[in-house]
Amino acid sequence: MVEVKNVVKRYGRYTAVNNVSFTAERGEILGFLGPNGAGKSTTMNIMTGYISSTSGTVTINGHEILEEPIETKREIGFLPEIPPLYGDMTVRKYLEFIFQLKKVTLPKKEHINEICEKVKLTNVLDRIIKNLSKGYQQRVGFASALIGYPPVLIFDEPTVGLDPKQILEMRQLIRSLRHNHLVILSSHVLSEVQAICDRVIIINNGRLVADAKTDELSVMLEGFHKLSLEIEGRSAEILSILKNIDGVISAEISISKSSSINTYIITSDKDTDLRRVIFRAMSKADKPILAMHPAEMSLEEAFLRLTTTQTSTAAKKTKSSAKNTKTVAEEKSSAKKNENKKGE
Amino acid sequence: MFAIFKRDFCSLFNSIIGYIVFFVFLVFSGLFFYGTCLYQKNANVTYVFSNMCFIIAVLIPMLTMKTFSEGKNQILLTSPVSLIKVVLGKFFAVTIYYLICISIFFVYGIVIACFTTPDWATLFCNMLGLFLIGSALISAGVFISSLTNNSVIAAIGAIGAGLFLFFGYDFLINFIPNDSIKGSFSEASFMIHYNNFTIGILNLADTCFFISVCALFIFLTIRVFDKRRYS
Repeated sequence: MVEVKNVVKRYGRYTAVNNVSFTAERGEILGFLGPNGAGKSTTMNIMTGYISSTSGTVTINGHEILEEPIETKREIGFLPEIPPLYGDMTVRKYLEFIFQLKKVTLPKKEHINEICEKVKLTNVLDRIIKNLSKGYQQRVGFASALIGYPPVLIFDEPTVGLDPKQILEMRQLIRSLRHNHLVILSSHVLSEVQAICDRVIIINNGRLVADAKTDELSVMLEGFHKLSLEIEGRSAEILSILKNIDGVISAEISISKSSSINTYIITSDKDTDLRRVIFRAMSKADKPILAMHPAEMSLEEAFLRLTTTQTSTAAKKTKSSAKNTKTVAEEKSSAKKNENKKGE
Repeated sequence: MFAIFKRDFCSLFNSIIGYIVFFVFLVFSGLFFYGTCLYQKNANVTYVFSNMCFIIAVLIPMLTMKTFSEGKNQILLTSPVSLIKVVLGKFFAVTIYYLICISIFFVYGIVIACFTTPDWATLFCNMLGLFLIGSALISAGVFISSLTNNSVIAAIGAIGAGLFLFFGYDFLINFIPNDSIKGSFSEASFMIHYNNFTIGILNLADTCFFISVCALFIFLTIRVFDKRRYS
């Protein structure tokens, strides 16, 4: 349905997108993942015909974007990063304008009402867009992308500026669209991509780093087995017990909740199951285990591993900075885990 | 094209700018009409129209500055609409608004009719001339706004372009010593073509000149966006 082939975008000497190729089919939710400035938005802008590529082709439903721009654009609903809304119009007027602009043949009033109900805009239909909150403005942009139900929906950071409740609603909505559409979305929020997408494309420095199913990706990268343990007791003692257990490659504290309760991450061989051994050792030492669960490699770690390996192999000079980013990101990932814990 | 036309046309009335421009246009046209016609007991509207040039050179950029400089192009350029329709839709929105402004001169004609028989042909010829020279400036303003995202720059650029095309150009060609070269340059002068309208001469060459200027700037605007797609 969508075929992106060897797309390159150069701005002078700077290469924003470097030889990106992928295909996607209807019924899929495809996530673009990458840090800021990775080339996600540029790729999306090329796919929607807003900017041109230096080389390479984008084909949507058999139409090439440069050869048949109008036919191709008819297949796409696009929500740019900053929704280009006309602030002086009411929501209804704006959506009617988009409806006319896209030359949709469906019954106008019913179609707009249906979409507004979907994105929960019905109660602000007659308000002026510039007076709406960012969350509602984002929904108006979302609604305008949905108008005419184009088969390919491209959302650039769709949940930016929404509150947690709205984010959940938006995710639900995007998931509900997968049956009839191909949804391509970009995000730098890893949990989001993990929660919504079937497939993830990781872009870093304009290059496609990985292209895999969401669940496959973490499995693909997993070389080790990790356990997360919350144990009460003095950390030095516990660490020495843990390190003495056969099969433990490393043990470290990830989060300190209080002076006596810490969370430890234990790395072992993939095939070794240490849960029983650890349980017995801790019970023998009278150190109560408060929680134990496998610490699967999150997409964030997967992403970091892929991108940092890339950077380190690319140039030795960047090695130190890659390490820095790794530590920063590791901190982030532990902070995220911390949040998750609190949530639980 | 109609959707874009309708949106842009309505947005001029949704925002204060449309009303302010209309107000200023009425004030100055009224002032000139009073000063050169009513006060002097003169039915000749030529001076009103030759003075109006100054006013539209400043007012029209206020209308065109936002056409492409609002940063909203993304929605138009990713919609299934051809570029020519996008540009024409925006151009006609401002042009029709401007036509409404000009229609006030019809009322002045009626005012003259209260005192004497007005020369309707000259009046309409003048209105057509002001409309055509204004449309040419609108197309230039639309082109300038397509070059920048900043509406203030678009406005200043269009005012500069307007003042140059209306006055600066004629001032410059006066310095050309060779008469034949000067003659050929003066063919491209806005004022020389417009002055024919103000004295009541409706001439195909003058009409075609302004229409060609519109077509040229519309074409250039389309090329500006085309360039983004095929760079």
